[in-house]
Amino acid sequence: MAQISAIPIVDATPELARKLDGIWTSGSGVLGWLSSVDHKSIGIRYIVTAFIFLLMGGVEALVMRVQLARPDQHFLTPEQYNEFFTMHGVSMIFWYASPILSGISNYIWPLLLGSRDMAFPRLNALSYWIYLFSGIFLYASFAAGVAPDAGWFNYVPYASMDYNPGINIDVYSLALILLGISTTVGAVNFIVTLLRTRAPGMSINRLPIMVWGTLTASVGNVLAVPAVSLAFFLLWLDRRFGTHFYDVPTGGQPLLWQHLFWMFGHPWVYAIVLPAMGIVSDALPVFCRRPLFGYTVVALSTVLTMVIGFGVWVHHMFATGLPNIGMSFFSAASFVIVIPSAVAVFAWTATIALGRPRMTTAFLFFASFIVMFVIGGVSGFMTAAVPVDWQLTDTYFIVAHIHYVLIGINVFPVIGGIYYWFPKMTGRMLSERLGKWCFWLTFIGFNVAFLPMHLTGLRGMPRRIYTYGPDFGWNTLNMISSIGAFVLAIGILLFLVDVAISLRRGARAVDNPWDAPTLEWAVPSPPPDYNFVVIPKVASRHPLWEDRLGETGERSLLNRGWALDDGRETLATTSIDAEPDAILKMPEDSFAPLILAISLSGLFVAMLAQSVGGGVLALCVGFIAMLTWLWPERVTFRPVEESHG
Amino acid sequence: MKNPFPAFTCLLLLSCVSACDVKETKSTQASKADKDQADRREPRVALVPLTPGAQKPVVDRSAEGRRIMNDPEQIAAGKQLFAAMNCNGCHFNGGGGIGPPLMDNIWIYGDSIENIAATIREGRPNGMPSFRGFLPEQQIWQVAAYVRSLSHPPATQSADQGMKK
Amino acid sequence: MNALLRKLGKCGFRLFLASVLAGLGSAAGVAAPPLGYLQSFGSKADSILNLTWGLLIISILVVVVMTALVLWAIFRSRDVSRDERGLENIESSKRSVHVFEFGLGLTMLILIGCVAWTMVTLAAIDHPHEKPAFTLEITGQQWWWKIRYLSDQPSQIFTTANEFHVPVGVPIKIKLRSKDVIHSFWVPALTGKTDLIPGQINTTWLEADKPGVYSGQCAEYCGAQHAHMGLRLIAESAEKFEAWRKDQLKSASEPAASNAKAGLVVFESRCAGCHAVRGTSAGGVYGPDLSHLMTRATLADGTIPNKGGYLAGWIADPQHIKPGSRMPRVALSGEELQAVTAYLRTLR
Repeated sequence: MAQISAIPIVDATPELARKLDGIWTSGSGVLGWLSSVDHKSIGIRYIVTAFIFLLMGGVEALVMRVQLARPDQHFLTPEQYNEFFTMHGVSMIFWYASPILSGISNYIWPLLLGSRDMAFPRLNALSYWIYLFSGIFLYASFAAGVAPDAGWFNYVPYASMDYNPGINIDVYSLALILLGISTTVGAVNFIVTLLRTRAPGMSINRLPIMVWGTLTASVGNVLAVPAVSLAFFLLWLDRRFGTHFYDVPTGGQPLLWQHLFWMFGHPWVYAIVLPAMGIVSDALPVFCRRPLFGYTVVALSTVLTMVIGFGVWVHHMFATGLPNIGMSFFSAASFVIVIPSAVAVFAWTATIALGRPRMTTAFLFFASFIVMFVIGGVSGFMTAAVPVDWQLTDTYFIVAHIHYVLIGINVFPVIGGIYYWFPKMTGRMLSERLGKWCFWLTFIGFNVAFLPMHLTGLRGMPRRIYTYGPDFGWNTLNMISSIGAFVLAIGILLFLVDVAISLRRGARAVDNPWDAPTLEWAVPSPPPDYNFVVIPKVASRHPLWEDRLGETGERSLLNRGWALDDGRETLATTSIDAEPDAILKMPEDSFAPLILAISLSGLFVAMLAQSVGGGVLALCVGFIAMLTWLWPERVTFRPVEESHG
Repeated sequence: MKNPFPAFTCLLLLSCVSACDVKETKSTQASKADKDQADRREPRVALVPLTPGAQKPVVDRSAEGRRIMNDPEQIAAGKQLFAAMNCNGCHFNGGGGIGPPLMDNIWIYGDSIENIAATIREGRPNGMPSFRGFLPEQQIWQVAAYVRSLSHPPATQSADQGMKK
Repeated sequence: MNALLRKLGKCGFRLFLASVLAGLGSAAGVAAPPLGYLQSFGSKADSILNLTWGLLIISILVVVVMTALVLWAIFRSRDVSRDERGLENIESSKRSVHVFEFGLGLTMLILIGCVAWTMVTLAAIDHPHEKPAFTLEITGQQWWWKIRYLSDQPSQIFTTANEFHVPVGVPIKIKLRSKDVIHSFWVPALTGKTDLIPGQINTTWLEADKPGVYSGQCAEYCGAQHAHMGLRLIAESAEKFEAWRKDQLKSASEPAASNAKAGLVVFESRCAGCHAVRGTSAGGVYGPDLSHLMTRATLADGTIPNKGGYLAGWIADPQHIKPGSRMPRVALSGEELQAVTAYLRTLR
């Protein structure tokens, strides 16, 4: 271990800032952009790419709503409709919902934690490039007319060779396995970053809830993604190599697919909402001018939700004829998982009630999120009862439920979070006027589209049907939902317009426009590449509010700290109490992640084309990239005696 | 930071638009094929190379056959019909039993898809029933494609085959 | 601004409440939708419905209370003496902690109660209260239902498709199999969903307590025409059911009209590969049994009504009406089509 006490503590001076600038700034131009490993740059790329997938999924949804607005329409053929609803689900759940939260976390974590970058910057870049290429891989199938069409849940036997012989399902399988690499790698990065690179004094009970949320989601992902990768890998083997994992005539089991898929699927849906709930837990109190009510129980409830979330997957399979005793266990667990969510809802409501709300756009998104969380939560609670689920499942009631939880608990906090952090990321404020229009259109459009869907489902409309007869009593409700969907789309469009305009002409943002308490607001907007001139020392959950809260006697130290300016360096701390532990040497910009991502994607294209030559070539290129990456040319850990103040 | 995203967005949205180009399935092919059915005569196929008058044996290649031969959708449809028409009652799952095996490369009446379709259509001595009229033309070709795939597996189901229209 | 938002909030809230109540009313109203399940007509569905209503009412109450709480939290009057940028005093009063604990405790109690109620309902509907009158074997395939009435005596077994009758007041056991992909059997007014999974036989039961026509639907995505895979269940008195059953067991009689006779010839040579009609040489098992086709109200499993020119239209071009269905476009000439339609019309 290094003699950490031997590192001098210095003031944050402009000279030091200039020196760090020279060390940390990425190259310019396209090459600089391609080789950058800066977490802020990668975070913004994730956010922009995820929004592109949100838009594409949204267009798919609008097309479907046109088809369903009236009975017996022929705007889409059944095959087209099936591809659309599959791609809508796949794009939104995999290529938007998790990456957007990864992107926001990527950007904001080191700033929240008082560090100079994530623990593994090159791994960060790799995770982004693989995500991008997997998305292109998937959408290339749409362009070629061979998009997957068996639903995002892809049940066998319908997804097996006998009933789906084209390459549609193969594209889906391989794209998702490729994305799984990105997700796993990213999750590992978050976990190690949290355990290792925090500012001194940021003990485990002083972490922002968003950090708890993303951490929990990352641990969940690491444990759950292997199940889905395995499921799709076995499916690919069944389809192309004649194995019989799911193939009934030869002893396979269709239910094996469902178990593997939902063993992943359920933790995944918690992974895509817990970080967003964390965003609200951190940003809502800022607009209520007080700290979060019940920090400890909210942090614990985040973890508890994910833990219980691993024990409820069979509630997606209640109709499959499993024995009652087994289903009862999962039914009870599905009821119990409401409890930690209720804790969070009460905490947020209490924070507002005991605070003094400022009605900014961000606050509106967060406050409405609470109501939609409750609506989505109770519709889920209803399906936890097995006999009731036998009526509700596979109807539009579930569609209403999933959109309340996905749009309500993911999209609304994301947009609110962007209204909150945009000044920090870009140095400009978003327009409050446009923001209010955006909020009301989005909120009204969303509720007009999806609140009636509960009723549509209670009136028996099944899911995944491309059309319906006029005598079922669903005509008006579908028309209302379609209209609402378009209003929602306009709201989202307005948000993008706001972003586009404000990037050019928004008001300049100061360091801390919202008077918020956490560390990211102590750096300029936008932050310099090195984040902090000196590594701060943290003494509470709200470093920037300490003077006014009077919580403890100690004070955080923001303008004096460790300089760590001998090349790219950041501080490593112990896991629980965040005592300084070592100096970490951070990597320079590198092309290796990009090349490795290209080679891995090439490998998967070769697997799709069943080309051995292509696969070997891709692996060779990948091997060279890995060699470059791991070549021990640079010292990653330097004893203290050689550094200077 | 240079921003390649606008161009990128356009590209991806364009690909979305072209999603209307969903590849044809059994149904669209079926309607098209059956519409031309009345005009198309069955291809003439020869069973043996010997013909009186030293003429060359006749084997018409059929556009229908060529189209269906390697199409995985058609082969899958043929597989279902194979079971539904109880072909496996005599041929089992290609291994043969009461009827000859279909997986091997020994063909009494020819192994081109036109020959196989003719066999199904005409029936053959010693027990192969005739399916003319019983099965519509389109379905006969599908069964023939499946039968052929048992002994001539389509060259790896690669990307270009899946995208063939 | 705050006052305006407050008004909007109250207004919106009332609107929301009203629409929820109106919606529920319409769902459970007199003219209940064919596939709705907020009205039940059998003992099994009754138990499920009680639990459904219970959970629905709890859910609506929770949403109303929480929305009101959030709106109150935002808009409640606060003293304006503090300056804009100041922070609230954060000493959490004991009272707010107590309120929090109370809310949490209440939530837990409600949840435990619901768990208990669920288990009780699940146990109650697991088996019918008396021995089932008979067993049906329903095989789902893309995209229709083959329904076989089982019996100890082989001569009493018969097959029909998509539409079936049951006597009121007695439970019926149903064995569910699938020929290809996963489907789901669902008659909302009488029972919840049970999947049909290839490779296993799932069992369910139902009981209709009132005579009537009940609609059902396949409820697991099974391919292009999943949208057109309905079910029609007719519950009737024991006598009427007996009469229907005896009728179904009868073979089709020889057609009288010359047109129909010609149609029979066409049928046996062109349609018998897939379809069966008891009493003729047509014994195909790939498609639905047509022995009593004219007793059914719909064709193509609920896609089109069984009247007028629909039958001829279906036979002429099934791919146009139900694209992707397994029935091919059989190339029949005009007279052949008329003849076979005339024959099929005799199948009562």
